[in-house]
Amino acid sequence: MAPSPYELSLLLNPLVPDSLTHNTRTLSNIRSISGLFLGIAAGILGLESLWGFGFYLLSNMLISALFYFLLAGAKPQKYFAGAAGTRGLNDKQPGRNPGSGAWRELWFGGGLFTEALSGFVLGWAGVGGVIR
Amino acid sequence: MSVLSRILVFVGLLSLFHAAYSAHEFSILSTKYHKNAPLPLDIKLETLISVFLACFGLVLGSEPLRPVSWNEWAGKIEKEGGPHPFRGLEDRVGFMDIRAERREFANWAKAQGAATKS
Repeated sequence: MAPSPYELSLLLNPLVPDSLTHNTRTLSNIRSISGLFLGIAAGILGLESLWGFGFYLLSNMLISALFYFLLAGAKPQKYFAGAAGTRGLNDKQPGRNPGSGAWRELWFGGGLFTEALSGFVLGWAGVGGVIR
Repeated sequence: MSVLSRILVFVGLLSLFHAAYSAHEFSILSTKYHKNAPLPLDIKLETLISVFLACFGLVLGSEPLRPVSWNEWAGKIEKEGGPHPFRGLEDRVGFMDIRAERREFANWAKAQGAATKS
């Protein structure tokens, strides 16, 4: 039986689990701490309902851009796994295929809609209630 | 975390708390004298700038990422001179430099002989 693209990709370009966990932990640390800061800021500004979530999304995109250019050096594929089964396989042209889909992990990963969002809402509601 | 990023985070947080205090004072005064005044522009600007500074310091001060591909990871370790993961393959008998080993042994034997004679 011929190996599936996923198995082939693992053989051709194996990943280091230590580095993977280190990178995702770095990203989620930044997201959760800055989520709390952003929540405090949203509470001070007195944002309400959708404006608060819009502020959260917008400023997190800014943080992602900083992360992308300062820490990852505009090469997300070097530091994140990306879509399974794309790395290493190259049917069209010669050379090493870096894979695809890692930008999604960088821009929307790291608990953007889970842990960091709960920290943001905590800071937002708490500071908003104390100040007013 | 470098010194610059620490300073950035510290200044950002300090001015964030200052902005919070200002907003609190403003809301107390505005409810005493008139109703529902919007927050002044300077407090808004201070909040936004300070939170941006803190986040910038946070990103700047976090640990550098590690390459995730095995080949880049191993190459980086080897370049830095650490014990690289392919050491076991390069230490096999077929790759041994027999002349260097012999020379080393001859030097050692000569040193031993000189030591025992004197």
